[in-house]
Amino acid sequence: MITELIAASTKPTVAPRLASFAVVVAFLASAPRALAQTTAEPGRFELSVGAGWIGRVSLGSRDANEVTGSGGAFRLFSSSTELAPSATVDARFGLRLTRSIDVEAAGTYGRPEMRTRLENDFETSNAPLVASSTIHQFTIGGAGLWYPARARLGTRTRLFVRGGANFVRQVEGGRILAVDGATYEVGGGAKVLLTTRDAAKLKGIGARVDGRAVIWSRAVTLDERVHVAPSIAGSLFLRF
Amino acid sequence: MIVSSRRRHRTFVLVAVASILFAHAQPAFAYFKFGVNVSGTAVALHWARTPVRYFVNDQGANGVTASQFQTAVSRAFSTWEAVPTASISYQFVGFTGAQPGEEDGLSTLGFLNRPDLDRVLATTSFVIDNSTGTLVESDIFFNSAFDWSAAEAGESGRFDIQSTALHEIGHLSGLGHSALGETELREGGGRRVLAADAVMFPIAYGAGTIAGRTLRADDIAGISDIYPGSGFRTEFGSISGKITKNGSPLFGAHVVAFDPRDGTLVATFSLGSQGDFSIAGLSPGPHILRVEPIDDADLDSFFSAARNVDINFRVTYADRIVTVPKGGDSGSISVQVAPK
Repeated sequence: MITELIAASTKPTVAPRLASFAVVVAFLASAPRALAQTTAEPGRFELSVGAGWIGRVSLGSRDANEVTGSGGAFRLFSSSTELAPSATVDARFGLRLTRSIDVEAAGTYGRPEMRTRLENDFETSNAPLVASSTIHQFTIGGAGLWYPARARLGTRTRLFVRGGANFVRQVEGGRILAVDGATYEVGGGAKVLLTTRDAAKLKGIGARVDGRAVIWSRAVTLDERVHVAPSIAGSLFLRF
Repeated sequence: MIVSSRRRHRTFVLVAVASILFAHAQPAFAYFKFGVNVSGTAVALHWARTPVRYFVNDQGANGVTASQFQTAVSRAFSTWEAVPTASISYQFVGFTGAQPGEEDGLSTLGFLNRPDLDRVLATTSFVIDNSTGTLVESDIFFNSAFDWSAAEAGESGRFDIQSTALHEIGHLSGLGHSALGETELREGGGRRVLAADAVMFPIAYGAGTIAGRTLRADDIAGISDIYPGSGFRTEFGSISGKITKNGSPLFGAHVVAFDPRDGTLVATFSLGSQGDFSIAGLSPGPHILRVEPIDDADLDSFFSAARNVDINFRVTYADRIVTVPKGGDSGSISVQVAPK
């Protein structure tokens, strides 16, 4: 079947997308021979670069209140702020500690839009308004990866569980927007070793997918409550 | 007579000072500070030396003794002194037979019976050194035509001396009125305060309440702007910009900065020739700007009647979130408002 697809990909009548798929499948198919020669995955260091997506995250709601004569709150208007979904660029450097434990340093960059919805204004009946600003968001942090012994899909794919913490900085127009704070991540993913080499430096090439829940700490959110956003990422890695 | 709508304050001297400010308003004015024109430059009214020394008149009124009065105003002075980002201090020197309002070199607080001022709870007056813009003397009188309370918990049906003193001491220190408040017109004239978010709002809560004893973010930003404590200029930031309507500068818009982190409101007015405004004393981070006409108090509570204050526009929010940098300014923010 694979041979047929490769053969087909050389024919000009085959659609380009099918041809690309065929090449990837053929590449994967060539890997088992190399893996079969060793019981441990090659390499101790891992460098990966990829792209991701982080979902909408609420940063909290807050009313603009004045004080009544009895000391109560009088709402002038209300606000709710969120970070819109955005794409990210991810980079990681990992170190294998044991066969089942890795640690890694990771950094991301994204340009989410911060939006504040303003409504319930005491003095105007205008439709809800949105103030917004596109920000630069940087995170840098560390994480641990655990590979459960039985969580393998074939000989090339390993599943992992990941947990980590990040320092986050948001900048708008060269100005620091958020109080420097932390996000935390829990999730998991899979690594597929595409090929291995016996070269002295580059030991292997693979692909990785991550899915995680990003927990925004109270220092970063506007209402001092914890908020959670989903995130996915895919990357290619090099093993050394 | 509608007691709850009685305006605190305002002598001819004070109005004159304010009118000088507006005639020479500069964008650097944050919050709302009194100012004087010194050799063509607007200078924020301030005390050159602290502690500010004050006396208390030795006559009580309406069942409030001079000692009780002094204790109540002392608590109000302490509240201003306790602002961590400001460096002003006050000192009670002693009781005196001098009356407030006398130009005698003594800053005196006390009662005066002024039934003719049927809407004025209290007034602050100044003597200013015009060559430097510094305060020489400032007196506060409480109108004994009203019923007053010096009780720590307040008293039903009586106006709270401590709350009113807190407002007047703000003036004594150089602060003008804030427009952070909502009112409604009452039948027969006057306004009723629905809510306020500044001790320096020009209209008092009704009798019997002590809600006005707590400084709000707007008051704190204002006093800190005049008497900055160590770190105030470096730890806090400002928003500046201009307000326009139909492409022309708009004078007298009330510009409010809202911090969605803690819900605080700090405000100023667009007083510059280009509709410029500047709000200082803001926490670093994102802010929402709201622009509104002054419609919750008489315009002459804030501005000279000669000034052409435009209140014919709709409440408008800036369409972008404004970032306040630590120790710096946002850069010019433009907000265009639409006519009503």
